Amino acid sequence: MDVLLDPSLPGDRDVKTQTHFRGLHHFVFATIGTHELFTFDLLRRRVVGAVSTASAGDPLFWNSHWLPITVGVMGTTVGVVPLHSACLERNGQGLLLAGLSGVGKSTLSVALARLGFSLISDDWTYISQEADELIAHGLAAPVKLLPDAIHHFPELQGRTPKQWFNGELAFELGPEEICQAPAISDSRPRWLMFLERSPVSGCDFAPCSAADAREFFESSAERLPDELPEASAIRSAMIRAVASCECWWVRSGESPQVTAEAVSRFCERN
Amino acid sequence: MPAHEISSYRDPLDLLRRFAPTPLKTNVHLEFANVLLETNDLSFFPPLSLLNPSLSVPSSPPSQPCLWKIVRDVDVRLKTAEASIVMAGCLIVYSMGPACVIGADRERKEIVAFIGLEVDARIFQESILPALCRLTEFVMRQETAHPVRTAQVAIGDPCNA
Repeated sequence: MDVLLDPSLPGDRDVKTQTHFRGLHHFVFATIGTHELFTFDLLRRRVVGAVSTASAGDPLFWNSHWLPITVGVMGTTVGVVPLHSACLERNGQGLLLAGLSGVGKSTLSVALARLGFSLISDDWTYISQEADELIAHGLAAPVKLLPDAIHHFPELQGRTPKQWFNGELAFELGPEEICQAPAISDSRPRWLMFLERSPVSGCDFAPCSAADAREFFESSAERLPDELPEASAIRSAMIRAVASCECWWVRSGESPQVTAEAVSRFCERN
Repeated sequence: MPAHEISSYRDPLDLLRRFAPTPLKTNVHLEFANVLLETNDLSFFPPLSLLNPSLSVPSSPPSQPCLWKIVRDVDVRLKTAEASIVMAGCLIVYSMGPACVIGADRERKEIVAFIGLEVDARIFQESILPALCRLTEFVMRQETAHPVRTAQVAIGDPCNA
């Protein structure tokens, strides 16, 4: 990554609302405001950019925004595959939580963290493979809770949700505000749970086939261009490996807290 | 030139618009390159005919054409900003903010661009087309191009590719 600091660039932009992404062929472009620019060359695994003094000296810019974005954009080209799932760990065993957007992965993650699980990530988990062992990584990014989470976590009252890159409003919580357990950055996933909301009360666990798990991730993954066949192959291989975890459907009509207790009991029993 | 309506392209699995269709194609002859233009907007075609006629006939047509893939980005309604250039290795990026981002790859002889909706024919002709031509020269004239140092950058200057 080559980043140029240009003191002449204005720093009066909002990273979350004024960052614009586009891609063609093996390029991904990100403009921040009207002057700051990053270009990701996925073919050569290279990032070049120019930033203002304000961005260069802002740890939040790098740690919470730009490094996660860079891993998300470039990861697949270096064997680190971003998966849209949360990840938690207890007793050395990792739990990946997947599901459609809005199903409640983040609220359940927070509820599990408050039951003693270590929170690794609530939204995007980065999967790599080392010596035939899967490793799920988090980036210590803030946890995003949608505004309706206030019904489950009254302590959010008084906070103001912020706009995120995709335009949605969300509360932002630091991991230290959530976790009872010490923060960790990676885990070996054992379980993969697909969360579904149910109109009926209760919380059911049903086995999920590896084929269904693969299909879920393959069909929800961002399309990659023809210029990146190796990255597509790496991603598919990693998805196959993740789908070899113990996979379960979790259908819940309960609050995040009650669902978290059920998940916690399930993990203790299994 | 017939009117051509550019429809907004959205695919939930293509957030970056990588697969925006570019069904319109034409060849452009520059002094130093034959260019194959692929785009989704016919309005880019007329300014091409205004290129310096002396540049319109290739003196020695290169074996491989340079690809220009230019996407009219109807979701970007910002005006162009001051130009900036970032160079690194075989890559050069010319940007005027989200309304104009151009990437040139010397190894692959490709130039890709997103042009916002507010960029009219005059801005395209006066600001962007010259940049495209200079970038094409950068891409095609490998043997005569100056060595490009890693992350050599010029911000705020006219395109010097």
